[in-house]
Amino acid sequence: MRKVLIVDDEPDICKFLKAMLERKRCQVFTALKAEEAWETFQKERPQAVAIDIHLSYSDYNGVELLKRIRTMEKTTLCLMFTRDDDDSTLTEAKKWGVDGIYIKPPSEEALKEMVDRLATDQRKEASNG
Amino acid sequence: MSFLAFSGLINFIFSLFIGIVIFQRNPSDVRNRSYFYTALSVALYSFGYFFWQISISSAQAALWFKILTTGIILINVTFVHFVFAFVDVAQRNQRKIFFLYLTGLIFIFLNISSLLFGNLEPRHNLGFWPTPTLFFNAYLIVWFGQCFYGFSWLLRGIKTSAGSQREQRKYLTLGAVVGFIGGATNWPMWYGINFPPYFNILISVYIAIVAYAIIKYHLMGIRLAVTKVGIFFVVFALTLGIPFWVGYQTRSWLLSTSLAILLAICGPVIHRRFQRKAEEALQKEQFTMRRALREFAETLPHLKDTAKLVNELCEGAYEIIQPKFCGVYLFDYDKDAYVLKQFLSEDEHPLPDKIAKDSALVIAAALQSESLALDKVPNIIGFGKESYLLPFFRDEMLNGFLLLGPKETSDVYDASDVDIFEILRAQCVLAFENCLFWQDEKIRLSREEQIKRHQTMDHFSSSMAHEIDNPATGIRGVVSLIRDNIAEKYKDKFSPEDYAEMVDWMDTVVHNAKRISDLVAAVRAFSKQDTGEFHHLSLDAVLNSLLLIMGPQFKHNDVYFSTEIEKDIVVYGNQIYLEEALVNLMENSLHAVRDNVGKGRKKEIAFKVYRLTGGDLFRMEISDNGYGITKDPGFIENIFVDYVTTKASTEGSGMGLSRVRKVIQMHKGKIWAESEGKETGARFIVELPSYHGPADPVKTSR
Repeated sequence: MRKVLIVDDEPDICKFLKAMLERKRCQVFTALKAEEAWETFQKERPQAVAIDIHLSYSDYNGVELLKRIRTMEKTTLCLMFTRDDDDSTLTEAKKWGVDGIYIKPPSEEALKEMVDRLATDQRKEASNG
Repeated sequence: MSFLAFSGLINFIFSLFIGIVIFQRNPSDVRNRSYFYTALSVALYSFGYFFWQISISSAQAALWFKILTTGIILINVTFVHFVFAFVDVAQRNQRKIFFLYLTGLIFIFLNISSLLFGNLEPRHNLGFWPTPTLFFNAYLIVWFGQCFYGFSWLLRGIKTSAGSQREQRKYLTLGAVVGFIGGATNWPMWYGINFPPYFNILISVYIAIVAYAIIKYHLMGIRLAVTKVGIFFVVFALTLGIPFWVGYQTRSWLLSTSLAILLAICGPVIHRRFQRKAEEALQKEQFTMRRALREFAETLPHLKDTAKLVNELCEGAYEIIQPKFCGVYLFDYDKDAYVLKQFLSEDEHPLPDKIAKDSALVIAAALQSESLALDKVPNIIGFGKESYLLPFFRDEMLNGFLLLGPKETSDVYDASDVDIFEILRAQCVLAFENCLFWQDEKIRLSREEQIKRHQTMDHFSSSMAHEIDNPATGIRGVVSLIRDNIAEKYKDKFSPEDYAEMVDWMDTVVHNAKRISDLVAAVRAFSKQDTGEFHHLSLDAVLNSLLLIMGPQFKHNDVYFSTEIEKDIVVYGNQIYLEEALVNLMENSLHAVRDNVGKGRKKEIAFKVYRLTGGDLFRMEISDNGYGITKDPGFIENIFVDYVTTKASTEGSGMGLSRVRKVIQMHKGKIWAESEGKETGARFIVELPSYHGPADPVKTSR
């Protein structure tokens, strides 16, 4: 079964995405903090990860987490969501091979797309990351 | 009149006039003076030469010949003296000069005593020529010796100079060579060799070359004066000379008189015309350039932006003055040096990007306080001589400068040019002051605008918040309705797990809708204009509202925010004011940790609230690990004073620490700051009296 990890400091968002992905027959793990997410990632090795860029009460933010994931695993699909005024972090994220960025709050189509991708997409062996 | 006589006449007129002009320009300068003596000697020689040539008897010729020979002797002596003066060694060689004149005097004495030559006899149809004696042979050797001596000094002078000075000396040497050769062509005839000294006229060529060097290279600085006098003299000489010559040749006084009258009428007209033409031609470029530069300079103080000013200045100067290169340097406080802001040049002439403030150039410029000719500054490499520096001063400090390279046309900058430079310089100083003023204005205006915008935002957010609250309340109400009333009805249509899940989701909706309302309430409470009344407040309520507002800020800035709050403290005060004060302190900390990431630190802000033992007081501590407060004595106590700031005052529009302190004092409390120094973070501590009764039932929030 496909494993997906959701990382967001809003518990309701985690809950919501988890429910949607479980309907698509995925095994979903959630984490509210970056450190928690990293531990879970190392243990479970999910095929797809969705990360909120700003994680409060964490030791490091979503982009840091992305870096760590990428250093360990190049085949994991990584999607990120953020508010729209994060120019520098976006560039940083792109540099580390993020596979998609979604602006919060997402439209219905964007949300559907994100969930679909998390559930099914394979990462192309892209040249970046 | 023979050609030789004519040559004598011309030589006489030219040398006399040039000598007078140069002398009169600067009688105190030893160079001008010694040149005048040379010219006088030549004039004497030529005067004698003319009359000697037109003599009709041997006795008459002999008299004039003595005079011209005196001239010859004096020419050499004064020539060497002049060379000494011109290459600036006259002071050192006073004894040699004295010896020179002594030698001259001896030979003049011999000359007058008719010991230099015997009787004159007509030779080769070229007038009466002398028979040289032994003394004369000796003199001839001395003559050549003096010539070579003088020339050797001139050549030395050329080697040790550069730029326009060098050019001048070269021209002078050339002229002198030509003149002496011309004069020397007379010697063969002394010894009976049939070599007509027609080259005697070369002496006038020498005069012409020197005159040219004067005009073109400001030899001793007397350009236009020479031309004007020259024109006058030429016209005068022609106006008088032509009738005179015609009369002399034709012996017709009628003819010559009528010619004289005719020329007397036309003369002044011709003279004026030539004067004007000469002025225009000679001065035209200069005049146009100077006027253009003056007009350009006047446009500069209208500019409001320093960068634009620098640009315009450089381009204008380059276009109008046409130097080989042109650069503007301004002092940069961060780099502590003069930085090249803009430069233009024909041929990629490299100017250094930075000039240290203790370099020879800068020191010389600072001392000068006016346009500085770089020739006067020793050890300036890379700028070339003939360059000028226009310094800009502000409050007695050298703010920047304009560097002008030598003119493209290789003319030198003369005194009138420098006068215009001064005008340009003065206007630039004004212009820079102006730009600074406008810059300050811009900052002031933008701050005013910012404040206005904030006020608008306040009104905006207040009504907006209300609008957002309505649908949120609606959602809460409706979903609660569905959950509590409608869903119940269909409970048995669902499996227990499905029903539980559905209720759970509806709870989630209600919960999130309430969150919206809470946030809205916090914003509204914060932006409300308060009556300023004091109440007994639950500190928890105040802090909840506060943290709702600050939370997103911390999250957005990746700040690790931790809290340790003792509950159930009641305080007597005004919620709005307290929130405002605390928000300001937190924003301060936010600002302080802004650069932490660049310095390899995580951003951390901690908020602690605790009672002090005894129970009457409690403290609120806001600490951060940001840039801290300097431990300079007296500084940390003063940060609560108006207008003292730890970072640029253009940042942030907050009320400032002075107002925070006022608020705390209003609440009968104390506030102070602690820090271990720069980069070690800071701690702001607020101490307030607590109240032991209950909080007022009417809360101002929610």
